[in-house]
Amino acid sequence: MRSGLVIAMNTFQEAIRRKFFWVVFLFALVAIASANLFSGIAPGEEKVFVFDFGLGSITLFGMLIVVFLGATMIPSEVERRTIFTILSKPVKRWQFLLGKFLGLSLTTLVTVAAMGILLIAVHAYVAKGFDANVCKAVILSFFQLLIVGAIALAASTRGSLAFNIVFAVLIYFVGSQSSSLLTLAEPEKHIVGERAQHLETVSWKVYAFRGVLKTIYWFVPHLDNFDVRQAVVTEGVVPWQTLVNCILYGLLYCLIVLLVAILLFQDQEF
Amino acid sequence: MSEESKEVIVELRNVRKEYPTGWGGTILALDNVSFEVYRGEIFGLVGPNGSGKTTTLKLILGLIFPTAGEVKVFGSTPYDIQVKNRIGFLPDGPYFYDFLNADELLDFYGRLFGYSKSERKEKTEELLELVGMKQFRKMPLRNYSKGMMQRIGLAQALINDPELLLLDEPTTGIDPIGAHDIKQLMLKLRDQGKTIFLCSHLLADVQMICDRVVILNLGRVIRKGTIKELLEPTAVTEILASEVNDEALQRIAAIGATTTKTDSNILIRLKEHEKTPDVIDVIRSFGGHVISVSQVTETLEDVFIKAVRESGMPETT
Repeated sequence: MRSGLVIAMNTFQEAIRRKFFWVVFLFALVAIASANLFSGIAPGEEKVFVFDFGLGSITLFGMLIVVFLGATMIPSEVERRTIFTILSKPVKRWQFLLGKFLGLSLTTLVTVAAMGILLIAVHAYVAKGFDANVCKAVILSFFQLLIVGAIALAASTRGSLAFNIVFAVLIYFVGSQSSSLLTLAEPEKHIVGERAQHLETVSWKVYAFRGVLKTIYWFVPHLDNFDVRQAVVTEGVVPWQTLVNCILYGLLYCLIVLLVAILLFQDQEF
Repeated sequence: MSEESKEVIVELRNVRKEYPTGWGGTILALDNVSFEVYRGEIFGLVGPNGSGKTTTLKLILGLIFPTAGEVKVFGSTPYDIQVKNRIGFLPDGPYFYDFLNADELLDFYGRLFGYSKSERKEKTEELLELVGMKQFRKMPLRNYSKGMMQRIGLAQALINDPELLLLDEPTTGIDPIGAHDIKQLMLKLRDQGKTIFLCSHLLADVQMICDRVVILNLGRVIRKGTIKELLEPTAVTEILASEVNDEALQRIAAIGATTTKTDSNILIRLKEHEKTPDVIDVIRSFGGHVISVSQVTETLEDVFIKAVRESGMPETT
């Protein structure tokens, strides 16, 4: 495990010395800090606007950082041949991969924490008080990004850079619509009334399509559960139970993705 | 010491390696390769481009897997962590994390071996001194020249005081003094009991410092043995003589020697060394003069080129 932690720290160190990281990170901070300036376009809804805009910025810029870093992680090691000297040292392949993931997680944590603290401060300024929901939403954003990072890293064990980026972004978008997938796959559970009568007369092709959608639903991360912006606006609160469930789900999903990544990486040749 | 009594450090047995080429096809990189590397020797692996040197090195390091056959390092699989604790590796044209400087790089590799902070500091000082990089220790690696990168690569390969050192083109890109220092270091490490596995295109260097050599070509071992075993069969006696008349030349040819006229002298080459006195007698009896007698062998480069040509392959190195 020692080797994994050494690689994690090195990965973090490398990430924060990249120009790309700082450009995106500083841009995100500027966007969040200036949320208050734009809140005038929604009179009376300044708090909601700052929350919405700030959290959206964290997700967008965090996504850019996590996808780029995750997707380039293994291909750049192979391309620069740095992996040759690392794997010739007493480092097991799973330790190397775990170290890379931990390094990516630490980078994401530091990035989201900095952006989150700024958002909490700007929101507190506009709302004239601290709102725990913003804090919870930022924590959920972190775990959402962690899942996407794990997927990008897993893809990078086998895929090319372009494939890894497209794959991770695609999974993010599909995952963000996972509940819509379920609605399409199981309309009988979601559609009631007169329209429900038509559901019984569908062809086998529609059944097959629903089967595909349901399969996709089970495989993609349910990232929309992590987006509590709507819940905060309508219900005014993010339940602790939601927070705990999402964190546990996020950790479990990352663990499964990492296990798959380790299996893919174990017999990879360099 | 006989080969049977020497400790085998690296062993390849009937190793075959195929790489997939897509669409179900494969390309053969190594075919039935077998050899051993013994403790305390400098072992040279030479061959033209695409002969399978890097593939062999990667198999020994556990970076790739053999399609058939067996690779053993210290009697175990190359994937064993205990094995990796005992080896050092310098890749060809080494690349390292270029955001680090020399101090940070050696500290990073030292951490991977679990050394304490004081041990890492001590080793860093010692190795930077050894490879002559102390004055560049704070310079980011991205600003290093190829030769500087090679030197720091050698330092990281030595960080764990390895029993087996695998070096891929260690003197490439290094100035003559640096290259000389590295060769001296290899000899010194061998004298300390280390085993060195050297892949190099510089055949003169290999001839100078290696104890045993394997020549690979298109994935097959085409020659192997000690430098002496490879070069001795090529040894000939050269006799330089003057005033050798035609009759004497006929007699010399009958003994089995070849003759070449050089200005006013004659160069006589003889493979059967024991017939040297007969040739000298013939020269003298016909009034000729012997200027010099010497025994010459071909160089490893000559042997290499011949071996590669005999196996019908290109000899670009």
